[in-house]
Amino acid sequence: MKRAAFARNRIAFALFWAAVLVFPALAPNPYIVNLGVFWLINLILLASLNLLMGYGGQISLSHAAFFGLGAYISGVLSAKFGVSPWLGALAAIVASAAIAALIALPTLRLKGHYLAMATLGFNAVVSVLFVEMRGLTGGPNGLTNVPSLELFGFSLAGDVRFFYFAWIVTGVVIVLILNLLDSRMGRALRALSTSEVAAESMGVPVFRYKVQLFVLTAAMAAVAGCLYVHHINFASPETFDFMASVMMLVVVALGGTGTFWGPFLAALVYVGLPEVLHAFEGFEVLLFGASLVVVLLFFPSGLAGLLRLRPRRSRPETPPRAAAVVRLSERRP
Amino acid sequence: MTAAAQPLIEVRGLSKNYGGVTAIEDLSFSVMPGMIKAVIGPNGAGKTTLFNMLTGVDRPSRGKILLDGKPIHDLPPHRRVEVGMARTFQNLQIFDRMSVIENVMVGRHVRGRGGMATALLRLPGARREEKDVLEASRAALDAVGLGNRADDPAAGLSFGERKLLEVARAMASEPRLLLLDEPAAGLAARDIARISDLILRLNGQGITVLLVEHNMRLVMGISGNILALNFGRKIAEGTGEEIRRDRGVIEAYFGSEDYDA
Repeated sequence: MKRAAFARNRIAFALFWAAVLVFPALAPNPYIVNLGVFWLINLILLASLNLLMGYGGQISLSHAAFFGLGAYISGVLSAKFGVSPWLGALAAIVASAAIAALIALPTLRLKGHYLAMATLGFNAVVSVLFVEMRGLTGGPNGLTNVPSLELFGFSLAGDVRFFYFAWIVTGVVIVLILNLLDSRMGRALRALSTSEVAAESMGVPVFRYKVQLFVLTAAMAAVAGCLYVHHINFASPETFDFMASVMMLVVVALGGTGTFWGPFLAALVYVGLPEVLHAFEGFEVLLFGASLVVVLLFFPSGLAGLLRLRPRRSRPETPPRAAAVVRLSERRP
Repeated sequence: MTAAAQPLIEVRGLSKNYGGVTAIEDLSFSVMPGMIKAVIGPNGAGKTTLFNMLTGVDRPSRGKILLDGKPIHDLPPHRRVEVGMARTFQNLQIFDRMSVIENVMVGRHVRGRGGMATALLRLPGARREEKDVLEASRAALDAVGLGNRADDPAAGLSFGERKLLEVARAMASEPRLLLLDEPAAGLAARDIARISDLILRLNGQGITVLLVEHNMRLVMGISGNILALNFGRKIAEGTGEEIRRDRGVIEAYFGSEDYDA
């Protein structure tokens, strides 16, 4: 990637994000605004997973588990113990980061796919806990009565208000990711994803950076979980199960792994496609699967690569032209 | 030995066994500051094993490696860069998904300090550091003659250019000791001349060079001192002229090679 690409991404993102702000005003009904909120929440999930997987080269099969830990810890603390949702969210993010560190420390020291294996098991354990700890989580029926967020007596409940709040939080997360990528550590991460031996021989503390990256992205997933649970005031175990983690991986690949704009498109597909395919009741899973296969077969660099005006397949990290993305955003419902 | 005559790097009684196989046995040698030293030997002589132990990829079974008299054989590879060593790879390890200049900027990693928090928040310290990294990396790239390719994707470089990029990337950390793993392997004569000029130029700037190399023309042309290995043991050490005349070396190495230097 040309170094200037980061500066271009910054400007393009600022313009794009400003444009997103008018979405609630253009949306025909609250249902569509609500989809916009889900797009923002999923953008945090997919952008952080893309940072971990696409740029850092580490495969996690438990992104949904950290999403769930964020949702359940914050949700349980506020719904069952009367803790302020803000404090609950803070506790959820810190706890998720700590748990991520516990997984990363033993597994990332080893070469190979140990992180993928450990996270696969971890997601299963977390799912079981969500179901079995009925007293706290409500078990398979889900956690109910989670309070909405309030800021200085001003309620953030309701689709439009929450959209603006999520817009801020998601914007901050994306800026943090942009900052990280365009830094000493970001370069080191991209380098170690190609060759750990070479990165280490350049003085990069590979193990420490991989752990930090995993903890950071798990914390970001927990942030998404907090937004989610205080928005819909409910959490259900299957939202955070192993299949959800796999879906996130697939959708990140669909958007374009290791591309800045990939997750934006991926989140759009993740939220939008099921709505579109609703009409083909019974066939939606089939069509979803088929469209994934088509995109991944013919566009290895994902949708972000597909939208690029001058395709250069060997350079998946080249971002799509900003104009293409903005045009797409205008085309949204 | 006086302080002034202290070797930059010293290997003492180094051995490496893989199971029952001895790859290096009781090897001792030193490299004085400012020297170009070459390690030669037929295939299987233990050159790669030695190189791996020097760079930290492998740990010795016995023996010591000292840099400035301080043991470094237990340091992981990334800590060795901090104390002044840098390396290139025989099987080139270019970061293909990054630009040419970004590859070199990774090489400068140890000259920076900013961690994750600094990076995430893009603190002023990080920006200043970025400027320094960029300038130094440009200079390193210019030094190997790749300055005009800075913003190109590294994947687009030719084989010879990739070799030069490896050197620039290693030099970006401002090492005192440059370890080159077969810098001439796979290169045409013209490119070998280019890389040998480059090594001499870097050495002229005060950088000590230790290279493992097959190409005798390159070795004889630039090395002040040569260490010959066979079956994991030192069979000779000395100047090019001494090595050329050494009976053991001739039998072990030149006897089986087409040697025309």
